[in-house]
This record gives sequence, structure tokens and C-alpha cells, in this order.
Amino acid sequence: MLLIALAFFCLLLMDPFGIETASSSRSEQAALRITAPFYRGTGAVVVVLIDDEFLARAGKGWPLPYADQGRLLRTLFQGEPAVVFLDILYRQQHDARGTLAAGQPADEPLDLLNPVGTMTGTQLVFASQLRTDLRGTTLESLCPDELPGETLALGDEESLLPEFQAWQSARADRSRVALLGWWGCGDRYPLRLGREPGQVTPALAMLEAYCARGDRREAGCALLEAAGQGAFSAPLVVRWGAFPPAEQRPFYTAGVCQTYAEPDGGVSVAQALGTSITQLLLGVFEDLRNSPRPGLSLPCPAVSVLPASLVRHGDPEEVRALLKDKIVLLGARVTGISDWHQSPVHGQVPGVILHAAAVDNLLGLGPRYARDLSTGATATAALVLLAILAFVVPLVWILLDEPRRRAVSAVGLLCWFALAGFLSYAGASPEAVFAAVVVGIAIDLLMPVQTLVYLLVVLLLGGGAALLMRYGVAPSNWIGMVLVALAFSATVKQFYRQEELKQFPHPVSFLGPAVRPWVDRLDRWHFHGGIARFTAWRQRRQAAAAPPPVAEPPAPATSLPGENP
Amino acid sequence: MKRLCAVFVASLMAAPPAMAACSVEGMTLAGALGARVGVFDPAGKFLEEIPSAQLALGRPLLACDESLGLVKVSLVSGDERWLDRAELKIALPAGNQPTKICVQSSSSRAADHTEPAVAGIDPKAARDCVTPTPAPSPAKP
Repeated sequence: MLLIALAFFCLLLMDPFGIETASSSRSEQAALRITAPFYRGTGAVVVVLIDDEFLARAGKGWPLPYADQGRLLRTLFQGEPAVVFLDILYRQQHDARGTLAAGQPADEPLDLLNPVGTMTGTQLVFASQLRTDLRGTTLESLCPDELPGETLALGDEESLLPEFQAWQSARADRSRVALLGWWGCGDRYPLRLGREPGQVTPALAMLEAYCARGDRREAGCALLEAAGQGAFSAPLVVRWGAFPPAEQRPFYTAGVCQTYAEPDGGVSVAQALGTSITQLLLGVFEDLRNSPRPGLSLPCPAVSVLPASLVRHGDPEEVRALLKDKIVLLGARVTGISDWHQSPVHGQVPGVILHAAAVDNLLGLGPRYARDLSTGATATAALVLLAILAFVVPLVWILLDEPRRRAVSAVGLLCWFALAGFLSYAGASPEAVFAAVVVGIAIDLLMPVQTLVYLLVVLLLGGGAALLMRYGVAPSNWIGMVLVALAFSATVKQFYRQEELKQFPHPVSFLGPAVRPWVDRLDRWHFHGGIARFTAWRQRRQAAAAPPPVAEPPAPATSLPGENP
Repeated sequence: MKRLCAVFVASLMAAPPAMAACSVEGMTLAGALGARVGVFDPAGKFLEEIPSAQLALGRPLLACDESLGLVKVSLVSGDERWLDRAELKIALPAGNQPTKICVQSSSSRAADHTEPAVAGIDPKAARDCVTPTPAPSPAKP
């Protein structure tokens, strides 16, 4: 049994054909989607998107002229937000001087910043790119366990126009630069990239700018104040909320988004639990992102998102009220621009919404922001979990399978029919409902007890993943662990049923003769005494439940493991 | 006929880009939303800021540019300036209401999006954004 446990443990640590990586990613997506209803947004983050409609209305193409961006930026600044982040790279000028037609005004970079030059109450964060020449030579990953000890210049100076660099340097007290374009992080969102103060990504740069005013009480600001440069060094696993903020509601047509959060950012426990269970059960059968019902597809993120056309041409007083003292991100959602991010909850979202969700996580969760355990801690957790499942699940499996087996089967079948009913009620496709019924019948006919075992394992690990997330630990390979644990449980089950035990080593094993002398010495690890007592107790239980024998019952099994071929 | 067509096409090609259509008929300047307002050139470039007190309130708007979001107003001094519409309070002609803009789709990508029906709205709850129904046009004789 020890050997089998070791083999399965190694299976968890290895990555054969990238299956472990794929399984980890899928597991985490499922866990993030299921726990999304419990995420409470801060309501302090607003995204403004330059979209196709805005360009059409302005009669402009992309990139948008600096003067047009400047008017939009001025409109944002007039709302008196705490921070504005420009999620647009200003690497090259739009028009080479001298190529403009006669009479056409030049597209000057400072036309972007001149309109906000006198507005000193808002912090401005520019985006700059990381030096790509560091990739593969100096820095293999920007998400290492420890930040690099040496001081490196990480920013690519050419990725921000000289005019903007000069403007920012002259106003360092109210502007800063965040670094983009990291690598080696997978789905993780790095926060600190180096030991220098300014070497941070947009989410942390925005948080630092927001918390610069000393009277902030949010969890992220408290952590930043307490730990300073030591805070937020581990990369973030971005959590996505299932309910958009209530402040967004007056700007959206009814039916576009799912249910809105309450003004405090959360929903009732019953509603969160109901949404979570719906996502879990329906998510098994179909991809809910494609559902036409917003309550299932969850299209709107947990931060306010406004199109730029509404900001420029909507009611200015309403817009200003929304932006007041917020963290505002300006990005683009323009056809042909590939800045999209795959969110586990909302499908594809514009890249700027990733930064918005990240800063919302940092601000609201503070020290409980989700991050990975170290590799050693992950391996230990996997080992402990496998050990628990190896000793608990097979026993439950065997016990359920015995005296009251018909009652247990009935409960299992009822679970499947209840699932089918719930799917139908929650709006799942007819195919999903049909599949639940057919699978339930098939399992009842073939292996009726397994339903309750599966239910137990999924509930244990699902609840475990939610609990881990609650305390800021990223759900690791959730589905992979469930599958490996089930396979492991099925394999070791025979040790608890001695009548089914196969010979070890196998009679035709090549290494068998060499290993056999050692098996006897290791037999004490097979817990013979305990297993024999369990077997005897089980047989007494079976005998008590069985009808009076009509013939001589067979003698109880007395063979030891390894003797019964 | 050919000559007429050629003149028509040539006149179309030679025409300067038209200012995006908008009308300021009956609209007056009611105030500013801040203590200072930005002044822009006709192409939309920022020039300077002036105190809101320099605006001549109650005067009709002189012109507008829908694509830039600018309106031309009179100052107390009699000068005319292009200002950003988003910084001003504008009084509409009697009986008119500002057009409310409602977001019609989410920012994320969802396949085959459809609009579900809404059963009703709780009058005590926060109201959803509703685009006003346009006034019926007068019947033609």
C-alpha cells in the first residue's frame, strides 16, 4: 500500500504530457468560479473603456489622437478620482512630423497631458514595458519565490515617450510609472518585480497611489502601511466576483448584467450559496459562459465598467459622482486590438479589467489576497490529503456497499434525479438534464454506491478549496487531486477486502523473486492487525444482516495478504 | 448629363470634412460644473483654463461640434470660445429632456448574447437605466 501511495504521490508531482498543468489550470478556474459569489468587491474601482462606439462618434480611428485622449482624460480628472491609470502604451508618436497635410493640426503628445496640468488632486499612473532583453538571460521568471537580490533596471525607457517621461519626472509627487509585459508567471499576477520602490506592476502602483493619502482604512492600505516594501511580494491569484457593483446599475440597461451586489459590495449568504451551487452543478455539464442568461454566464465583472462614450456624452454630474475618490483605469476595447484576458468567471475581458480586478483584490482582501503556497507546502498538503483519502474513503466505500446496500443505492439514484431537477430549474440545457438522468441510471445499474463516494470527495475538496481561498491560499490542482485520490482509493480498496486481494508481487513480475524476501519484512506496514479486525467486524455485520443460512456457510477467510492469488 | 455628374462628383471630393451634425437651437448656457473651465481651439486642442465667472450665463449657445464634444459660447467680455460640453450646464428648450445614454452590452465577450425579458422593477429599489421613449412625431397632413 505504501508503494502504491508513493506512486500516486509521484503522479501528482509529475507533469506527464502537461496533463498536470492543464488539470491545475482547469481546477483553479472551476474553484475560482465556484467561490466567485463569495467575493465582496470594494466598489472603489471604475474602468473606462475606449470602444468602437466612442471612436465612431468622434469620427476617429485608432490610435486616438492625443488631443481627443486629453479631453477624455480631463473629463475623468474632473470627477476628482484618487488615481487614474492609463492602460495604453505610449511608445511611438502617432504622426511623424512633416507628413501631415497642410492645415491639419499636428498630433502633439503633450495634447494628452496639458488639459490636466493644473489638476493636482489626482495621481496619474503611466504604463511602461519591461525590458524584453532580460527574458531568458538574466530573469527566467518575474514570479520567483524570492525577489532577485541584485538591483536591475527593469523598465524599457523607450516604451514611454520622452515628453511623458519629462512630464512625470517633473511631477513625481503626483504621477508614477507601472511596469507591464511580465513573463514566467502563468495565470499569476506579479506585484513586486524588484527591490527598488518603483518596480511594481499596475495593481500595486495604483494601490500605493491610492493609499498615499493617510486616512484610508481599507485592508490593502492597512497592510501597506504596516509592512511597507515587504507587503505584497508574492504574486496574486486574481479572484473574480460574481456580482457587479450597485453603483454601475444606473448606467446599464436592465438584463445586460447579472444580479447586482448590495451597496456594501456583497450579497446575502443564501444568494451567494445558491449562485455557487448553481455554478458548481451546472458547470459540470456545460460551459456556462455561453449561456444566454446573465445569471448563469455572469458577463459583468465586480468592478464598474463604463464606455468612454457614456463618460464623454452622458450626464456629467452622474459620471462625476461615480468617479469621485475612485481608482479609475482607462483602457481600450477596440476591434482589432488583442488586449483580452481569459477570466474564469466572465469569459474574455479587456486586459484593463484584469488590472482593475487585481487592485480590487489587493484593496479589499489585504493580507488575505490569494497566493500560492510554496512548492514544499503544496507537496505536503497533497501527501496529507492522499493519506486521509486512502484511509477514509475505502472504508466508507465498503461500509456503504454492505448491509443496507439497496437503501444506499436508492439515495444515490435520488441524488442524480434531484440533480437533474435542479439543472432543469436552474436553466441548464435539455442535454445536460438528460445526461444527469442517464448517468444516474447507469451508475445505479453498474456501481450504485459510487455516487455517494463521489459526492463525499467532491464536497470535501470543494469545501476545502473554498476554505483555502477564504484564507488567501490559491486552490491548487483541485480536479487533478480528486481524480488521483479516487483512483488511489479504488486501488487500495482491496487491502480492506482481503478476499479480493491480489498477490504481491505479481506471480509473473520480473522483479518479483528479488523483491519477495523484502515483502515479508515490510508486511508490518500493511497494518495486518487492524485490517484483520476490520474484516472480522465486517463479516459479523454481514452475517447479522443476512437471512438465516440454508446451507453450511463458508469458513471465514484466514489468508494473509500475498497468499490469496 | 455627363458634365453635370462630373461637376457633382468633383464638388463632393473638394468639399471640406463636414462638422458632425448637431444643433444648439434654443439651448442656453446655464452654468459650469466647476470653478474653472477649459478652453479649446476649433480642432479640439486644449488652450487654457478660465474662471467660470467669465461665462455669460443665460446666453444662447453659438455652435457645437458633436464629434469633439465642444460647444461655442459667449463670454462676459463678448469674446467667443469653444468649451467642453462635459464641463457645462446647458439649458434645453422648454419641453425637451436630455437624451440618456444606457449601456446596452457587457464588456466581456459572450457567445450568442440575447436579451432576457424583465419581469418587473421594484419601485423602491435602485432604478435601472432606461432610455426615454422619443416623443411621437406630429402627423403629416
